[in-house]
Amino acid sequence: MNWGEAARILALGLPNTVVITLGAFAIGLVLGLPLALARLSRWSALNGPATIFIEIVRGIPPLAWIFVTFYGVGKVVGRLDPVFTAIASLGFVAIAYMAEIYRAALQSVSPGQLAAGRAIGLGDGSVLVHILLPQAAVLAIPSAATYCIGLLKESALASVIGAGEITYRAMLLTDRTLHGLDVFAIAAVLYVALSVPLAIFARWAGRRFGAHFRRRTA
Amino acid sequence: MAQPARGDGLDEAFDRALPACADQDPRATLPSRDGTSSEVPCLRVEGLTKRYGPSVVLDGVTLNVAKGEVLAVIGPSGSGKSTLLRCLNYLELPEAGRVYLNGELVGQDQDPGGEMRLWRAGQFAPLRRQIGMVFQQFNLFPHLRVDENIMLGQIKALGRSRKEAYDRTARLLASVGLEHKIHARPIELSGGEQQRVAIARALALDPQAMLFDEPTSALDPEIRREVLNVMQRLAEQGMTMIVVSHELRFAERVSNRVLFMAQGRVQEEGPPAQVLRNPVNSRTRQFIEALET
Repeated sequence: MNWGEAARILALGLPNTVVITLGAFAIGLVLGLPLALARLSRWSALNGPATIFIEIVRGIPPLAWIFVTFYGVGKVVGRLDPVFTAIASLGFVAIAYMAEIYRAALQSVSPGQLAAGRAIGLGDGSVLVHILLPQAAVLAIPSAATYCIGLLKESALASVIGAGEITYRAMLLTDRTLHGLDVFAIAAVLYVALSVPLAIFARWAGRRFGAHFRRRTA
Repeated sequence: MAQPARGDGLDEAFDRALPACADQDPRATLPSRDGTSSEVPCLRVEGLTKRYGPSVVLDGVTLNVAKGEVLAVIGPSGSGKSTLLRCLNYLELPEAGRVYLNGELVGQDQDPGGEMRLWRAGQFAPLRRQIGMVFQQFNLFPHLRVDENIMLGQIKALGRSRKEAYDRTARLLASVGLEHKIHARPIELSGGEQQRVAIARALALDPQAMLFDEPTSALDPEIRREVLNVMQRLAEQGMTMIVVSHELRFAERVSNRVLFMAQGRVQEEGPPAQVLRNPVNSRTRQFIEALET
């Protein structure tokens, strides 16, 4: 097997892997926040459905969501693009996970911050926007980054519906060359090449934005 | 109780920052030192009761604080002191009882049937901005600079312009001796500095009264002084204050009245000299002896 040629073929899948990962993550990043707020709401008309949604969506394997979207939704609206399907279904799952990450972050902001915000006469909306969310966002960085790296690997599931990302190409190449070990070793290197910069970026962001937060040790 | 003149200009800065009460000597105008005069008290609490599950934290507390009066509240931990303060501005919601600010029932509506009808959650904000609060853990906003900490409430709660809020912030910081820290992050400040910023943050809203919840308990002994000095000057400017504290010397020197709480009840109250030196109640005596040894 020609290693350079194999690497070139697999690398063609990089853009789709990146697009699926970042697309799904962006959906979770944006829509997870309102869901987290609903989950934390004191009104059961909001937090009840939010809790049920989160538990059901998280409880079903992402692979199942991909199939349900591709074959189920596809049956109704016509054949779906595999990459689009992967983004939509993984993004749907990401909403539930990101909501839980936001919720945990919001709950780990010191309760004194809420009290102090209220004590200076801010309404709860202002307290949320100006005091709780900026701090929760920083607290959420490590978990969100971990989840994003998880998504990167879950994007491989899109191979089952033929989205031409790294794993799909690795499977095709394996069929053709019968050098599965080598092909997937190259695929592994590509995934690590994507996840390591992500981890470095997350660590940098955590430091950059968390610097003035860290508690002075008495 | 006259203070020796300070050469640091802080008093003048204080007068400028708090023009509203700078022109009167609180004790000259104070009708009565024990808050029981016929004049409408700044704060009045009637039968305040708060439970957490089966445990009764406040058991029908009634008290008056006259305008310009400094009330020191002492008592063992768990006696309900902090909860009392937090019920005054409805950070905690009481199960029964009433709170009056300048004679006006606040936080709930009058109900002829005697049922308690609390305001909705969104209605407390205008009340809270009239009552300043200082916390044991300072609770500065760590993601905001000192000036932003003090401006946030002024802009979002009072609707002041940025310029107006910033000018006020600068004056208040000067009054607590921290004008050089205006652009610092809270984490860059010592505990005493953070607490002085927290006091400035509360004063920025021009409150009618200030609540201090163990403001020096988280501070090293030598740093407490700087916070207590700011509080003493505030008292001398005529601010109405309720101070929950274990600082008995501060209570004796600065307060008009000391109130001893235990088990959610007011056990004893009176002039500092009496409560702190010759307590009638045996629990008070025990507590004070324990603190002083």
